[in-house]
Amino acid sequence: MLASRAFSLVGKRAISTSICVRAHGHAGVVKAEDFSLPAYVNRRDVPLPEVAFVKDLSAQQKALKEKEKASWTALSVDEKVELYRIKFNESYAEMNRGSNEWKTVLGGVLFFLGVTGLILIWQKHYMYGPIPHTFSDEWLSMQTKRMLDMRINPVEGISSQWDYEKNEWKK
Amino acid sequence: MSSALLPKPQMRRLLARRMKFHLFGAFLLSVGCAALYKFGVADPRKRAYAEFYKNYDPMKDFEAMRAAGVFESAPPK
Repeated sequence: MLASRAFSLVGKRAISTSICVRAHGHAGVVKAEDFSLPAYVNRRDVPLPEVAFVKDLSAQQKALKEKEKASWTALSVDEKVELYRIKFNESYAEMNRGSNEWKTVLGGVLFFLGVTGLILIWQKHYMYGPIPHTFSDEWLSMQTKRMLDMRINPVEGISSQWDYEKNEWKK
Repeated sequence: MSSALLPKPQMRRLLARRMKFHLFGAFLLSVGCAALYKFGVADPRKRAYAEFYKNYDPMKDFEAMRAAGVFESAPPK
């Protein structure tokens, strides 16, 4: 009885370990996700990125890489360009190229400024009440006369533009 | 690929060249702005004040202002 009990336990252990091995797979480590590996970047301030641009080389590219291990003078110009394109996505000239985006940006800005202007016009016409009476022409002329009488800003400002002898604005 | 070789671009002293350019430019711009302000704003203003006060008679000005009736404690005569 005890022996059979012990034997069943051993058998259970054997089964459980084999299950464990199948669950973990081959290596026993987690597969590294793509985003956690070093990535390729096209940046002006990173002249040599951490990885090459093309990760999975075709048979032709693999042969070219083998040829690269020999003397470089044996490579043709096209092969050199192909090796460059394997390593880098865009050249510096391509990376730094200008675009026409500024036209879109400027157009959008001006358009929305126009919309804002329309909203303001509508507000002035339909929403706001009348302006204070102190903005009327009579009041403003009385106000200016008083300012001139008080000699406001006589050196460079408003009173310097008034001719006190002739009682009119200076020409 | 172009058949002719491109001229070799400048490889060294790039920052030095940029710094020289920008130092020059910054110096000239700031000195220019200061000079423009001095000759456009500051000097004319000083001259205007000198001219105004050269033959300024405060009592005459006061009597003119009093006659116009702007003073509370000095009514017109």
